Amino acid sequence: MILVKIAFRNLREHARKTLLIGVLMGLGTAILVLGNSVTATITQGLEASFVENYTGDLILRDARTEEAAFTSPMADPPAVLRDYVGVEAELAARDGIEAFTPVLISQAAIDVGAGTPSLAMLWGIEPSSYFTVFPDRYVLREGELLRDGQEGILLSQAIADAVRDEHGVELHVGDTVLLSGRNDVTGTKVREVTIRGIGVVENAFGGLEQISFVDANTLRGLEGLVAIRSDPAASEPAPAAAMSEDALFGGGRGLVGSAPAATGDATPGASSDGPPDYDRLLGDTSRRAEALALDNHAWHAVLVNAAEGVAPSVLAEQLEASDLTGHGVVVEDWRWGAGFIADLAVGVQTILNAVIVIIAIVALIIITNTLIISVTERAGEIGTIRALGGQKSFIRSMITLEVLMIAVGFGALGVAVGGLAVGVLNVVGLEATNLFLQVLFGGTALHPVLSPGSLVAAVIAVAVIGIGASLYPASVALRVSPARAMQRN
Amino acid sequence: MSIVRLHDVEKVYPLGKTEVHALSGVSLDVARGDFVSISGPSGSGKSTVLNLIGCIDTATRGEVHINGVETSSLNDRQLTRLRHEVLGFIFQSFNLIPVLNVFENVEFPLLIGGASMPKKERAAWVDYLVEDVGLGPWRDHRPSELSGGQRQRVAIARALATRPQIVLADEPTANLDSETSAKILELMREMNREFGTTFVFSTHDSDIVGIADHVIRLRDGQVVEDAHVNASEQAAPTEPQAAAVPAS
Repeated sequence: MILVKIAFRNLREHARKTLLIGVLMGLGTAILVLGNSVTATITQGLEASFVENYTGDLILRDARTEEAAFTSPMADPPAVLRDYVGVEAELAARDGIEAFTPVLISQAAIDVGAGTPSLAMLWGIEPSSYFTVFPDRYVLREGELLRDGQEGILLSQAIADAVRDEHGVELHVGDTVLLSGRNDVTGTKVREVTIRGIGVVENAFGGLEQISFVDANTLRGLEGLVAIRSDPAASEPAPAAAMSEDALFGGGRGLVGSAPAATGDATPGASSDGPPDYDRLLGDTSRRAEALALDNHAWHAVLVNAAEGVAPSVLAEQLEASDLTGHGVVVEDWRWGAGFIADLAVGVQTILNAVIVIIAIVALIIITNTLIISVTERAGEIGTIRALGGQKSFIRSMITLEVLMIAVGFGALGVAVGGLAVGVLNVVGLEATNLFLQVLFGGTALHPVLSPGSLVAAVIAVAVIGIGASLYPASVALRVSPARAMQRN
Repeated sequence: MSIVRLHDVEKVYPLGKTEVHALSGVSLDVARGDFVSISGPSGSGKSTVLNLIGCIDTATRGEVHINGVETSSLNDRQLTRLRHEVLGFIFQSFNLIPVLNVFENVEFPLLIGGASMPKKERAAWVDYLVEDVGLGPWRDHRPSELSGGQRQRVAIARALATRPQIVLADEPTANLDSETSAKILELMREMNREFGTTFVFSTHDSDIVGIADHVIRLRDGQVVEDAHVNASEQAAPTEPQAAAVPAS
């Protein structure tokens, strides 16, 4: 009690020093609460946005894919899962999974027959399972959702708007657009697809609002995901033999062949007195057709939602320990899908943490210096207490208690100020004035929410700074000899 | 048996590359209940002797016995405990804690030790001391609101709060005018008689040495006189713990 009395009165007696230390601590705490709440809101918002709209709780990808193409139209498409059938069977047999859906992720030029085609992100989906994993997240402005086995595209509203603005063409359900893509296997491919619906994924932001959904086979065609390509055994570039003309065209001779031999050999399929039989010109093309048939099991990733009550992280651990790894599958969470956007959030958090650490160090130095001056000024008093029989522990407690009282008092004030600032920003909203902020905020404005984590972090930080700042001054105080009382004049 | 005994004590302070011999072969004994003055000119070693008796400094050589305990064998914690339980201090500059009032300053030594006195008993004892030194009306005043003489009275009451066996006073009248000095010395004498507490005070004022019944004079770090005077007027040594304590 006497310690509290002395500490409190000393703080009041030296109001200027108390205020200096207190303001530093309070300001630091307020910044900590506000900054952490903002970044926590960003991270939580991004997580919710990606999990609910794009990635589900977990993403199963092929181990060969390094970079996510979910958010970047310029990224290479992911590697095709080597054994989707096996993966599907494994997932279907497991508990703890609410739903899952396979997806293809790529990009293509959308040509409406007017001007330069627009490049857009295309997701190939299996509609029934996709809209089970992401129920009510696609907002249709026109038309209806795709159905299983139906050819067509759910065109992004943003693309439709861009086409209208740039080319003056109003796109509607029932219209067709040309999608063109290029791949290493089948070269450039063009597919005409019918617009089945126009809409947008709820709360889409940045480049994600340009995602259009097509039936999987259309995208497989554009991507060249054919049997020869996606055969697990041929996951590496196809062997030269398989790619030879003989292999692909059944050993037939081409239209432009060598001149007929004098022996009278005729080009197969050509009759001597009629037009050439083009069906026969190519000979037996069944192997070619077989090799170039679309691989209906070619998928880039599987998006998984955990069952209610199952933590995604726990499910991820279970999946990682399962036979899935034998299929060359890696389990990821939303952060991998969010790619650079998640990195951006982490970057902002890191910068904020760095700023907080710098502030903390500066505060620590200033507080320590102020306390040392205070201890030096009170050396006579400390010496007297020691002479009167005060143990070193009493002196240490006295110094630490004074700092902790400031820390608790002004720390609480800082928490209140920080919380108030968060509350105001929650109501007013932090406007995203550019694309960078839109991406970061996951929308046009951020409404920070006070996070329990930020409060805990603030309390810990204040305690650490308080105790840390008192360590050296306390050690200086402990070195004050009781003889100092005698030397006082 | 002596309550304080210094035997062949030497104290050397390093001063740069040289050494200062503050005390050389000092031996002295203080009997329980003595009212002792240590006098001598500046630099004679008065404060050094008080520091050694007060366990706030250690001898370079020789032995210092306080209440039968040889202090060189004690660690810091034990020395601190000895100071708290056996010794009381009165300082030249009063050394009151500025943020505490008169009552709290006197009570302070009772709150920093290990053993605790019941709150009511403690309050009654502190009030008794405050009244005893004539500061009842100033009980709730801070040191800054008191005169020099009043502050030293608080310091005397504080020094007696733990019922020490020895009170050390380092030039207790140096910062006071002559009239107040006389009153303070008289008060110390009264306390010495009332509680049987041994008082050892240093002074360089030869006029006030006369009040002591045991006079020790130092010069250049050596004892030049060690004499008992006014023996017939000495207070009969009594056990300090037997001092009058009001019923709680």
